[in-house]
Order: sequence, then C-alpha cells, then structure tokens
Amino acid sequence: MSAQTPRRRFLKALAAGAAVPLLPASALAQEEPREPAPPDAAAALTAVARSRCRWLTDAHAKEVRQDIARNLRLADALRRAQPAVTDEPAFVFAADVPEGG
Amino acid sequence: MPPTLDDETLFASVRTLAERLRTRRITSVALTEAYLDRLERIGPRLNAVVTVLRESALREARAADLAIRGGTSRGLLHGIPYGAKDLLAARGAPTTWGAAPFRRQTFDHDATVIRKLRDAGAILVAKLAMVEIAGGFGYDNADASFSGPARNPWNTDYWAGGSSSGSGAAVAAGLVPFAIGSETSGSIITPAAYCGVSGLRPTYGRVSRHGAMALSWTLDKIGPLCRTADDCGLVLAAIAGRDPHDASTVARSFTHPEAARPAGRRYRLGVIRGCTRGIQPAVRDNFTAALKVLGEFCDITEDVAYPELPFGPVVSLVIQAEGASTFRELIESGRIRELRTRSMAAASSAAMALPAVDYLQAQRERARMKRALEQLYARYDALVCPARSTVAYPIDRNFSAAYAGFRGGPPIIPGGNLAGQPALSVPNGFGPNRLPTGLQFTGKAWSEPRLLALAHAYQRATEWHRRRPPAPREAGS
Repeated sequence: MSAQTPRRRFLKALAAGAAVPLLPASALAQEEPREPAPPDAAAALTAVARSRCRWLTDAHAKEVRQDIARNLRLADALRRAQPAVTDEPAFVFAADVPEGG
Repeated sequence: MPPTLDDETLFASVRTLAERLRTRRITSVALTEAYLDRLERIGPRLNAVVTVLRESALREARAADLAIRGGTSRGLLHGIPYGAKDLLAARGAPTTWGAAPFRRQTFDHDATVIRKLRDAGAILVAKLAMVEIAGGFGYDNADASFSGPARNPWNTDYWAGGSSSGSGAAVAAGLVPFAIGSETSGSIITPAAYCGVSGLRPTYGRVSRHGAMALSWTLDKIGPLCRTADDCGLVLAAIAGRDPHDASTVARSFTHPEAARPAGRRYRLGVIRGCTRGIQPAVRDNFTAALKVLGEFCDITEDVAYPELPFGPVVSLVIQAEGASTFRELIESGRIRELRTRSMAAASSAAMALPAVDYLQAQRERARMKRALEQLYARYDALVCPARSTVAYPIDRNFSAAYAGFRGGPPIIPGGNLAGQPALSVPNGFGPNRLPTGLQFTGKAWSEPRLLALAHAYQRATEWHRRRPPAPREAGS
C-alpha cells in the first residue's frame, strides 16, 4: 500500500509534519510558496544525498530530488520570517557535563 | 482458566482500581492475569501488542500483593498493570521501535519512565505497537508498522491513530488500564482522540526521554494515555521529574491530588478562531456541545486568533534534520528500505542533504513562536479546539485520499509541540462509523495541573469517557 502512495500526496503529507497524523494538512498548504526551488540547488543536494546513500537507484534519486526540492521550498518559506539577531535557536548549549555523563 | 474479573473492573479508572487493591477487594495477580488474558486474546485482533510480558508481570504482581498484604504500598499505582509504547527500553524484552530492522533489538537497561513506574509499583504487562520509527520521514496509511495496521477498537475497519497506536487501542479496548506513549508532533493526541481515551502530552522537559527511541531531541515528549484525565495526572506524577540522563528535564515538582475545580473561580477559556472550519460536521457538533458543558464553569472567549507563523515548515525541517541524524546509519546503509513505508527511503535520503543553515533557521523561528504563543496563552487558563478534524482514517485507504475536503483548522498540534506546550485530549462524542472524537485542551508551558483540572471537571459533567467499545472478536475468529 505504501509503495502505491501517489508521490505528490505523500509529499504534501510529509510537509505537513513528517507524518500525516502529526499535523493537519492545511497547515502547510497555506504556507508553502508555490514557486519551484532553484533546480541547481536541488540537483547539487541530490548529489550529496547520493554520495551518502550509495544504494540509491536512479529511480530513488528522482524521488529524492523531488523531496529535496520540497525541503528547499519549506526553507524558503522561513526566509520571509526574518528572525531578529537575538533570536537564538531553540536549544541551548550548556558547558557543564550532565550528571549522568 | 481465564480470570473472572468483570468488564466493570477491567474498564475502571486507575484511581478506582487502586482503591480496590488497597481494600483488597481484588488482587494485583488477578488483575494482571485478567489483562494478560485480554492482551493475548484481543491484542492480535487489533495489532496492538508487540510483546506480552507474562512471566515478569506475574512475578511483580505477586510481589505487589505480598507488599499490600504486609501493609506496604508504594502509592496509587502499586499493583496496577500497564503497557508501554515499544520505543521505551525495558530490560529483558525486545524494543522494536515498530520497525522490521529493529525487531530483535534489546537493551540492557530500562528507560527512566519504565524504572519510575516500577518504583511506583506499576506492572509492565506489554510492549505496545507503534508506527515504525514513530513515523519519522512521513507515512500515508495505517500499514506503517511491522506489526500491521493498528485497528481501532470502536470499529476495526479504521485506524487507531499514531504513532502511539497500540497505546491508544489497548487502553480503549480494556487490555490495560493505562499506557505510555510519546509525541513528537501529534502522536499522543491523535490516538487518544481516535480511540476515545484521555491522552496527555506533557510540557517538553517534564518527563525524561532516557531510554526512549529518539526521533527529534528538541520535540520528543513521553506521556500517558488513560481512561480519564484524572488518571493522566496520577501517571504523570509518577513519571515526571528531573533525570540526570536527560539534559532537557527540569526539576519542577508535579503532584496530582484528585483534580477539583478551585472554589469561587471560573476558568478563562479561549476558543481558537477557525478551529471548526474545514472539519467533519460531527466533530464540529461535538465540539459545540462540549463548549456548552464547559460554559457551566468557564468564562469562554470565542474567536481567539492563533498566530500566523510557519509552524508546518518548521516542524517538518526540524524532524527531518534531527531524524536523519538519529537514523543516519539506517539510512546510509540502505536498511531503511526494510521499513514497511517504502517512501521513507527517499524522504530520509533527502533529509541527509538538508542544509544545516535551514535547520538552524527553523530552530531560530521556534524561539519567536514560543514568545508569540506564551503571550497568547498568558490571557487564558487554556485554549480549546477539536483534537482532530475528522474521526479515524480507514485502514484500507491512504490518509491523503480519505475525508477529502476536511483540511482542518489552525495548526495547533505543530504549534504546541514546537513551543513545548502541554495538551490533553479527552473524548467528547462520536462521529461517522461509530468512531470517537476528541476535545483538546492546550495551555502554556507547565500548565498541566490546570489542563487536568479543566478536563476532570468536563469529565465529571459528561459520560463519554465511560463508554466502552463493542466486545472485539478474538484472533482467528
């Protein structure tokens, strides 16, 4: 059943939260920019993925490139947000070593 | 010979069972045997169970009875059986993460949550089914676990929800009185709503994740699924607290006396704008009816605007980046192709090439989201909305093809998860195909006591949490 999932539908689900039940599908539909990501960036990152996952076939690679293009569009959606200089990432580094090692 | 405890006992709340154990009207051995029997007979029918721990559970039950007879009780969970999502390490049992590549995986330690529950006297009777690797990298149908699609006890043609599928199904079907699940973005709230049980997603940092499978270190939370909100509080009190093995945990005390409405005070409740748009009519009607009940003891502000921020893209990028790091070996080796969900192979490979700057940008955006939501929630004791926009998905169709046109309201689940806020879903009625619907309370960080009190008050005024699913057919029948 999974293998038959239409790619576009699956990607929509993925973008809606890395798993369909994780998020309402509407969340992203409104936020995702429509314009395609730069093709050369997707191609370059697909090459990175292929170098790391050497088992990827050409058919896989096509899917990977589509997924990467989608991730680039997600990242583009954040560019508009313009965080302030003081907006640190939502995790902090602590210099002390946790008690448990 | 099967134990002879009646359904009224097997579907009783933890608080009720604790009282019966304390007064020795039942024994832990009888209770444990009865749940083991149901886990073995009914569990396979629902694909809800991965491992039944008969021997160790009965050994612990005998010890619990002995202690209770000797006048020693470790508290309200002493002698109470429970199940755990199969992403929590438990010494002596496989911990499969719901995924074929890990089906023979074992650990030589207990997850902190398992240890804490054992210290509280609770008895682990089963490891429960889950969506493979908690659904990291996406899935679009119920058949996304090596143990098969988890079936909904209310209607087995429908899914139990995920990724804590077995936890929701087992509680709803009376296979255990409570279960532990986990949520990265929706994995407790969804099965709780779909299965008609009460599910609590605690504040990030409230409960240790040590010994739990990591999907996303900055999003993962562990929490209980129970029959009642009150029980969720009891279980949370046992598992909450600082753990030196999990740096995200904080030393905040959490106790749970039976939640009661503070005298002379009405709750300030907000209804999120647009939360009934694009949802199934029955879900909307049940939500409207719930608001009427809540209006008896709450001052309700309608039409509260939820911030318009890119919650969807941020949660997706964070889960992909952290998940790719967690499962790097699985992905690079190609063993990810052994998962049931074929599309995870390409999606996870794409995540391996996600630029660090995009991940960091997403994490910076979270800081802004936290501030915006903190500001919003400061004005209310809680915000309410339907837990899910539809009832459970059918087993035999892709999620994306089911319930076309019901796209849901504002992104409350990713928003709350990104901000680390608690949420609680309780049953509030039924929709199409005799499937339950859920009412979701969300609050600012560390507001669990208020959410529990609100949900408890709601459950004192309603009976939805007392409903039982039809008796399921046994495996093979």
